[in-house]
Amino acid sequence: MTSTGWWPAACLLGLVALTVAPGLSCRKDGAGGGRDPLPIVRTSSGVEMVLLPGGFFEMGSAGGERDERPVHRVWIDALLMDRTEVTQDQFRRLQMPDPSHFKGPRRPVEHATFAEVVAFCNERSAAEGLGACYRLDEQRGTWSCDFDATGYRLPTEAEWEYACRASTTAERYFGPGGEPALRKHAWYAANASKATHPVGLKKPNGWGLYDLYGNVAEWCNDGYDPNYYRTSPARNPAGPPAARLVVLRGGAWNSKPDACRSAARAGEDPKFHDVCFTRDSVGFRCVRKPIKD
Amino acid sequence: MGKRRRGRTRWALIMFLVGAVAVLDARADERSDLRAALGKLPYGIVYESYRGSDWELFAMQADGSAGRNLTRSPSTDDLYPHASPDGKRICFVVDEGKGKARSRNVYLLGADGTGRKLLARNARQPCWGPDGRRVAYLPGEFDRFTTTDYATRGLVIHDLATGRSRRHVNDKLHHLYNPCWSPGGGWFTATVHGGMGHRHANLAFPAAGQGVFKIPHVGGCRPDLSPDGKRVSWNPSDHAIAVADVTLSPHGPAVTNVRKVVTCDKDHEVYHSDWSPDGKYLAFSYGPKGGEQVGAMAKGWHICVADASRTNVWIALTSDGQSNKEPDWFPVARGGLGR
Repeated sequence: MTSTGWWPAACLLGLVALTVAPGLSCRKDGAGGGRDPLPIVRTSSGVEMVLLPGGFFEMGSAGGERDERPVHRVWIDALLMDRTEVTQDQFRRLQMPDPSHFKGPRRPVEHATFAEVVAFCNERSAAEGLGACYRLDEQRGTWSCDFDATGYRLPTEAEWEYACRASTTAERYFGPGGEPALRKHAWYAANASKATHPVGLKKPNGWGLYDLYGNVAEWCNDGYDPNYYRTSPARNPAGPPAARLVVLRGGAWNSKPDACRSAARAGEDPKFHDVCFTRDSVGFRCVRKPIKD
Repeated sequence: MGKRRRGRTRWALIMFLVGAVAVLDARADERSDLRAALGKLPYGIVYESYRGSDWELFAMQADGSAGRNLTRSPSTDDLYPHASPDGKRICFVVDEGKGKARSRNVYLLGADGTGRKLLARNARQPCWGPDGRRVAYLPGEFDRFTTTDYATRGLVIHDLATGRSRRHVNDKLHHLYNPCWSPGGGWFTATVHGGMGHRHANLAFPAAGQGVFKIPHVGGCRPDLSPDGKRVSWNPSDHAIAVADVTLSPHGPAVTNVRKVVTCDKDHEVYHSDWSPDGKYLAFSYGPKGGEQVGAMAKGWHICVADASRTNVWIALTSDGQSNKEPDWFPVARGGLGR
């Protein structure tokens, strides 16, 4: 076994031990499709998150778009990630107005301003007694993220791709199979009937995460820089210091198959608090540090 | 040959510069004329303004003179003023309380700043009926405080004479903001965000009926009807205010003759258009990128007035660099505000 081979397993074992703690409901899920199942944590507000082990992965795609190159090796610390995109029911339970176009309690939240997204992260943290990650400047339309805080935040795009790949290296986490296989894993232009769908209806990836491809494209925490991979750090890259656009990952209900790939990147103007021009094809999921609840 | 070409180029450049100077001169004249015209109007403008630690309501004459603080209430945030048709009263929202006790409520105020009275709790964005006897407002969607403008459910009409309130008969009204009651009293216009089957749209719906119509050709937000009810102004983007001719009928609204009245560069924004009582001018807010929502900071925003029949003939009335927003015209001729 190489040194890179046993590290993720060791981290996983450590984290499994860490999660057996008061206040956490933890179980294994068989979604791994033959791989080792990852622990599923139910948070105090009843949301399922997958405990992802720390590990290395190859980020980007040599055969993809220019902004996906060069492929580079990245380390990601262990983290908890929502199994599904944040749902409208989650918004309403926090008494936050649901901006979504396609209504349904189990459908993903979309059409939100970036200010609403980061505000949700902070409210969700507060509801569970966790420290807020985001500091908002309403006047300037800017925000900053404290990665050391205990609360919820958006994943970095490296975390997102790491979670999406789930130790795979192919264009899509399910390997070959093209569109017939993609239909089983994603709501996209070919099968979504021009709308979002309730989360978790398609097959998950090997780590038990749903709807990573399609349904809604997912906001990441990073600014979008097409050249970022040339200079990004090797450990927990968190995006360029400044950028006009914010990263979107995974494609949406209105995407072509090419956008529904593990390495596919897109940038979108966050329109910080401008409700007029938000998109009904963009949503998000949250991550947080794997600490005791 | 080369000398001749250089000569022609030089002449073209000179002619261009002369033309540009002439255009700039004409614009300066137009603005000067506009300021002079505003000085003769029997109108004032009330608006919200952040004063270092809280929001207050201010009023001034139509040319920007005689500005004064109407509310002087440092313990509350007073916002979104709308003057009654006779200019004698203002309905507005107040953000009050702290932490979990914070709430947004609708109040009334006399023209002279006295008689502050709570009208409705957990309510927002009031507007006047054309008779000046009723106020419509949007109930908050949740108990919890938020500045999110579309966090509303339903519409309530409050009769000031009887003190009674009634919900609009259409119980599907959801996520509306910026309501405007038509001068004839038969219609409301408003923007909807993520509600009633709409992604984002400007709507018209009868004051006493179930129908809801998307206003065609009027995309964006914050529609405002002119005093004769025949025109509508709105924001097609952050950077423009447009007007159009509109007809509201049982078959739905019809819109023609769309044109831009104000445009600005991408580093600035224009919002909150409001028709003057004579229908000739539009008051609006203008400033660097900031929060257009009620209660959101927008430092450096000013109250401005545009000639509604022209494009980009406008002047700023405030110059104090505060967050000045949500202007609303009022008549001052018969004992109105400021008299």
